[in-house]
Amino acid sequence: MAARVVRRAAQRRWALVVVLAAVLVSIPAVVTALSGQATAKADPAALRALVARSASVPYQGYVESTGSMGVPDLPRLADLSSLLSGTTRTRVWYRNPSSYRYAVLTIAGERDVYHGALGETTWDYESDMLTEVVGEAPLRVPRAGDLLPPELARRIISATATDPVTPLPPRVVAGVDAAGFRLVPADPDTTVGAVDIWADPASGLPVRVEVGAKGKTRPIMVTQFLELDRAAPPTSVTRPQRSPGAGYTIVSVEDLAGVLGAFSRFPQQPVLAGRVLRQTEVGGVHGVGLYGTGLASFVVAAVPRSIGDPLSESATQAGAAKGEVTDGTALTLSIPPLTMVIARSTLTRRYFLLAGLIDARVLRDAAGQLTSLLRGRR
Amino acid sequence: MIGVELRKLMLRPRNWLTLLLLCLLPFIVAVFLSVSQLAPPPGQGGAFLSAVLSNGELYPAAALAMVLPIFLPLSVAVTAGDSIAGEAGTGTLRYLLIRPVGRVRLLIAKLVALAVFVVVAIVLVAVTALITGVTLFGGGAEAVGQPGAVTSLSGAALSSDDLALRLLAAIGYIVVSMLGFGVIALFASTFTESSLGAALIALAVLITSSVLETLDAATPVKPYLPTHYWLAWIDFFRDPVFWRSIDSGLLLQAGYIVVLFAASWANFATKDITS
Repeated sequence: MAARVVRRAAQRRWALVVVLAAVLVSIPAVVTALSGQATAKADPAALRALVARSASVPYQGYVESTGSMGVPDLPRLADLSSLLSGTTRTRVWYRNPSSYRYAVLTIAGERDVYHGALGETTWDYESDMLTEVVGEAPLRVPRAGDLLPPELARRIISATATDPVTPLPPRVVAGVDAAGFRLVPADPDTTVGAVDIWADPASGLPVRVEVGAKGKTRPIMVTQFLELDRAAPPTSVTRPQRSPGAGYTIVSVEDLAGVLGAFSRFPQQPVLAGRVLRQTEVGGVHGVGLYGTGLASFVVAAVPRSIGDPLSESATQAGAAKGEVTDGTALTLSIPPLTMVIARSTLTRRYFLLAGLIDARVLRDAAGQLTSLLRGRR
Repeated sequence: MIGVELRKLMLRPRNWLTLLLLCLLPFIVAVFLSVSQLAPPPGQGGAFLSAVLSNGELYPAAALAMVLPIFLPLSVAVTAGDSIAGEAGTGTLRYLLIRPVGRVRLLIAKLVALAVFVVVAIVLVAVTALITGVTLFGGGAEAVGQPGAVTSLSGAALSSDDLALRLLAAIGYIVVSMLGFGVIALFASTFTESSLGAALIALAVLITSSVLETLDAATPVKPYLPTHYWLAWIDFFRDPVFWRSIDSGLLLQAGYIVVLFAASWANFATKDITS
């Protein structure tokens, strides 16, 4: 009898513990449910136009961008690899297009970019250095700031202005009742399957972007606000502060343009694989050309051997397919939706790097045209 | 009852030895850094270690980062695991409860004693590190505006007052984190008569949690892992302070403390005491 009473008391106590644990574990789900059902509605075409004009909308918050492209470590481009293949945690304070700051958080460090009217200043805790960049950076590799939902959405929309859009169910993102639309690139050669964008229907501020690749069921890039305040941040936050204990340097834009080393001087072709040369100097850097339009455009650069050799090695280790092109060899690395071809001419021993969100066949055709050219011939 | 537990805590040489060893590691590292004048570059080595050569006032933060992953949880696990299991193992638990002392009161007293140990351990590490840092690397005299000022993770200069405030907040956060972990060992301690066994259970939880942290497939459960937000105290040294992980970490540890203390009570209150 006494044992039964004790057992019942024990059962009551454990039941209480289980209920307590269940309540605590369910709190996040309850909070999410209480934050309201998504009801936002907007005409997809009108919302796209609103998003395209949203550059003046201020905001501050915290963004997590998760890429699952599995990009291998590329020489001098380790940051890009981690950006496209992992989760990037970013805080952002945006006043207007000429005054903003974002900070990429690491476990015990931080990299900040301050953008002001006079140029950019970067802070890197790992190098303990505040760097003032004189002028506008002509060419740079994609960075965390490009993956912020507003930046990424506006960039994609500007490249696909006339492509069809369809409505998506609304969703609550960082407390914003956001309306959504799906954008399907019209160009059959692009490897981007669809881009889903959710934005505040009132201001057009994008709060979540998903990029899908053709042949993939899951998005290969998801970026969204987890915290968002639509009040303009104070200038004290967006202005770089120089600590006397830290290093300080000023660099010109040319220094940053050499991330990949000096690009080889090479006469660019007016048309490659049927795509017209749209920019002869991407961002003002000689040797880099941009072909085609919209999401199906691709860049072409002749790279020196000091870059081409390790780049080929990395691509091979990452499983790039080796093939023949006219008068040369080509390594094709497809990490949907990104396609990269590293071609080497047997005639001139030159390396060419071609990359874009485009079908590998197009890039190989373009590579074949380049490798068959004799030195200096147009 | 609480007074008795605190007295036992203070009079046990093993606890003082644990505290000594905790303080010794940062001291040894400081001596090496001071003699060689070779700090790891920023972003490499322990957090904040790169900056201590220019200002010793930051050394408590570096010391806490040093002991947090293993040493501190190890000492907390050993102390918390000994709470009930130690009494049972030495045969004193039965006599303790005969006095009479309510089981809930005993459990609360053990939790308070554990909290005091955690506070003393962390404060002692911070204070000895501050003394060591200022003595070996200098500090104080170097105010903001002169070389040697402490730079936050975001690049802004931190005044001595600001640094002290952030250090205190970081210490408070680590105390809560360790208390959340200690309650796991306390819970295990109510199941066994072996204090070593209870400590090992807690350490197994620590290792499992740390391993799952590195696994992408475990992403959905990561926010619930006890170690997930342990390093969020570093966010006190960003500018502005990044509260998101700190808030989440405090809530998570509060959850662990409440649930596991309740589970300890549920098990201990109706447990047969045989020793």
